[in-house]
Amino acid sequence: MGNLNREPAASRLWRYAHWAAVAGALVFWCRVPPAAAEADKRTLPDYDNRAEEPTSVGDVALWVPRILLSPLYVVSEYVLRRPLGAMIAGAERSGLPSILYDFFVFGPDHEAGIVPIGFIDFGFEPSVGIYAFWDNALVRGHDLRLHATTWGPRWLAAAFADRVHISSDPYDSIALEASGIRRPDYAFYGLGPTTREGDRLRYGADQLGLRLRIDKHLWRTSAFHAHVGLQSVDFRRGGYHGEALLADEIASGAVPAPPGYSSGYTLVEQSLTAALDTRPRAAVSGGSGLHVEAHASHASDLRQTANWLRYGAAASGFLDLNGGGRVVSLSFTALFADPIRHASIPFTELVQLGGFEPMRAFLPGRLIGRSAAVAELAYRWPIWVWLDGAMHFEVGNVFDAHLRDFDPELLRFSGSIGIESRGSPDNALQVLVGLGSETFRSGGKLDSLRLMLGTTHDF
Amino acid sequence: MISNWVMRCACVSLLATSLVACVTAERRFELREPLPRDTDLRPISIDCEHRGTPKDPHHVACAPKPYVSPLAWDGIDNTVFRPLANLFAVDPAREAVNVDSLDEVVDSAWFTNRLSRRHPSREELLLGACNQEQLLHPEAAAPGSWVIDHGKDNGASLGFRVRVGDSQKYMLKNDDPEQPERATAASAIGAAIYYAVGFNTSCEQVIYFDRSLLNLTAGLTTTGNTGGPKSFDTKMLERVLSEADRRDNLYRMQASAWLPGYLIGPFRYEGTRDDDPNDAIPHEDRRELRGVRVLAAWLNHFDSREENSMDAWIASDPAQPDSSPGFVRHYYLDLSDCFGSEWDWDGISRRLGRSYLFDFGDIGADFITLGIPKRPWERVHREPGFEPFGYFSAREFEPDGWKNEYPNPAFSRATEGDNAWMARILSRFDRADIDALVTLGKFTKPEHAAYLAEVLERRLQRILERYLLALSPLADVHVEQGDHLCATDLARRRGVRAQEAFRYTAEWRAGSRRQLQPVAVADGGSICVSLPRVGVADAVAPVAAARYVVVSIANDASRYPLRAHLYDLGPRGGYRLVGIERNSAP
Repeated sequence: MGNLNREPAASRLWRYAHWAAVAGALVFWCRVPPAAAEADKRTLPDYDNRAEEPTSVGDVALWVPRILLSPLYVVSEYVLRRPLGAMIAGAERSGLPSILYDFFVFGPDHEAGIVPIGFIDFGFEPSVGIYAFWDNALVRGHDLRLHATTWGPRWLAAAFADRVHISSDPYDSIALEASGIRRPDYAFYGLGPTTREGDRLRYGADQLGLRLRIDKHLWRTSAFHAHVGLQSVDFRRGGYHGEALLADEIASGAVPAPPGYSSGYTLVEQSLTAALDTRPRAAVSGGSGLHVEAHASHASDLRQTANWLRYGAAASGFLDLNGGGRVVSLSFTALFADPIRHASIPFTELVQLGGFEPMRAFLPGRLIGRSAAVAELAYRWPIWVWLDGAMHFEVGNVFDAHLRDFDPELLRFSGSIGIESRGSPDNALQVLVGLGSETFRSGGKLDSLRLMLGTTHDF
Repeated sequence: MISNWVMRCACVSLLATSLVACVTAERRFELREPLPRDTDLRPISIDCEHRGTPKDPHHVACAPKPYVSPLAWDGIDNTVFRPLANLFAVDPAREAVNVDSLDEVVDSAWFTNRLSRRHPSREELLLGACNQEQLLHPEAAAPGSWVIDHGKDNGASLGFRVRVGDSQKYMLKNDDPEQPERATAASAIGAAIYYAVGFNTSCEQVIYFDRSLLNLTAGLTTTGNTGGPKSFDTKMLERVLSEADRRDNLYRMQASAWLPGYLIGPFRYEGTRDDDPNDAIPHEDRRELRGVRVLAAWLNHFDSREENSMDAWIASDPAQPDSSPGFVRHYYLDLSDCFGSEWDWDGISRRLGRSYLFDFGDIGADFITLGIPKRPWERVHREPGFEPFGYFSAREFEPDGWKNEYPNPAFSRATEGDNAWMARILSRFDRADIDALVTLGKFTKPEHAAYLAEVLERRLQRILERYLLALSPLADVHVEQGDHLCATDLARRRGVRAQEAFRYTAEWRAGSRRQLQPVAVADGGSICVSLPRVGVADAVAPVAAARYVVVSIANDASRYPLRAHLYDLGPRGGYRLVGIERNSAP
């Protein structure tokens, strides 16, 4: 019986909202300057020589939305605007922005600086940190870059690049890059095309890398890239918000250890990429043309004396619809990873889709296999001086070696829409919402949601 | 529960609405002359307070306190927080407050009716805010007679202050090397136009001078937009001069005369100054601050934000500038961004005047529409041979769509009446005026002057097409010979439409009596309507409703007619014009 007398929660909530609205309305009415200040003001003359305009129907009707929205008004005006105004304007008057600017951007001609950055990829730990740059460091044409991000002592990442420009084109450079990442929240879903969203296991890893690279623009936007590198990877238990761990599943025998997980690896890699691109160089984010790219890399695991090759090719066509950066593109990509002499390739060195790779509606690590095929229809369009909108519709998946088990029924769909910054790739801003599907054979149900916001933490 | 509450609100609203509707009747103008002048020019006294200066630590000031405009917060607030709060406040714009019975702005500390009262002579037009004593004559000045006593703080352009003679001070500023002669010309021409329209401005002129005139005071410092104070020495002076435009051996710079009075910082486009009792009308509800959007659109003065304004306390005793009594006069400053100023980023330069710097509306629209509509800033291009004017053109100019750098509280509340008011003033600039004003830019290439004049003329035509014809363009309404109501059709006078498009009808109404009256049409936009007598006895009081007449004059070109309100004071007193409406149906 007692429950019958109790006010329903919805009603109670509404009553609170009602009183909040009334209180808001009172504040709203009182938002004019205090009476004392008003009294100091001159009395206004009768400007138009006629009586006040009578209250209209519209005037009265306005009070309905005014009262209903008064709580939002109170928050926006008195909780946000005025305190922030007092704080920021006060800081400006005390010279704080100048101090902050000189703190964050410094050196002769302000060619060095530090920028706070952050990155959120739902399904992983977020990270915050700094991006530091120093253009023309010590000598003209020599740039230094640093990303340092963290989310507590278990999540640390740093990447450093020392670049020397070899021509007036900022793309043309030789760079020495070093990076280190320690993360507990990597995701593993299994290998092959049929892994499921619900199979996610977590693991941790420590990675250290050193790389010497050269990038050179050739004809138009055609380019050449080569690098040699050394990388060491060790896997750990890790963990992410109580989700099942790969280490536990391996120990219980439920999941076989993926290749390389138990021993980690240290690899030496040589890589070569060549791209023929007919788009004009000046078209930063637009232009029509064709892009054909091939890459190949050889890696040796120094711990297991294993060797493997990774190679692939992509062919793309770009159509700038009106010469204003509205670009529709169609791309086909095939990627392969092959061991040399029956060696096993560490799972993190296999072909991966998702993350920043094609099929970006899937989380990094979601799709891993020996080969992959992806077809992508994309559209990119300008929305601001430094921002583009971007849509990607992709169909593809990972497969066994050389696409051996390729079957259209095993393909997945990936669709995403977002915002990407133009300009320097060193500190690119990305906002992305994506939906990925199961394989078409399993019904093609959309079961993967990706939300990503922030700046990259690598080069 | 929710629906009950909403129903209750709706019922209360309906009830109140019904009551209101019952008492609504035509509002009559009183039998009085229009307000000649606002009361904010009357000297007032401000409480004195200690306000020490480096020269006089014990100084006492009896003037409003200087206001330092926060550059970043002004941009952030007007881009994000103010529009958000205003949205929830549900406070739609009403008609401006300081509009007199003849639909004009009253002379005040903000605005003086100049062009709308009397067309200035060519000499007056070109003098602008300058008086003869302020005009510089570098060719006649003695070497070393211009004493540099201050470096130029802040701002994008380089410069310094010179003292000429005993009392005159000028800020000398450079052009941007990327756009030679544009900024200096824009300052001089823009200030003259703003002044002619009715605003208070500084005296601006383009000068060519010899280096030998300058005499640098030792130990000067300057403060930039960022960083601490820097020394303004010979090296810095040479840097400034090296970036100045030159003609033969003479340097070209813009000279801005120092404003009179005690400078108390910029005025805001919202609210009022707490410490100025004369400042009683919220700035966003002042017609001149709303309507100036149209003027800014004409010249593409996209940098029309509070930092480019200045309030000066004009003390009754000029010898003591911060003493009371006095009053605050409000100035427009720095119009050097007009006529196509560009930023370092081409994408931004293309958008200036067409989109806010960070325009949530445009970004959101472009994202949602997938960028399918081609935007104005994508269509603009620099005219070959006229690159100093950047993207300033009439081709993509859309008066309604014009935007400054970030939302301006007064611009956002401009009504059709405010825009039409400014359009009526601007229509009084004829092509010869524009050609003359452009000479103030002292362009080296005559074709640049011609190009600028042509663009200004065509942009003005777009403005008049949009804003002059929405409401009635009839102005200068007056009574002649006691029983003729005459006016000037500014749209016809300015040729906004072909002459034959203007067909006039007039209806005279007194109480329930109505009759059509013929309209006599003359050249120069003039029209006159003969008014019949109301025919009441002399004993009837002058203010009696029986003497009240409303004359509606339509020109068949504008959407609304002019409604003139008059009292018929009989054959001896004649008709007396007491009010004008432009935004009501007949």
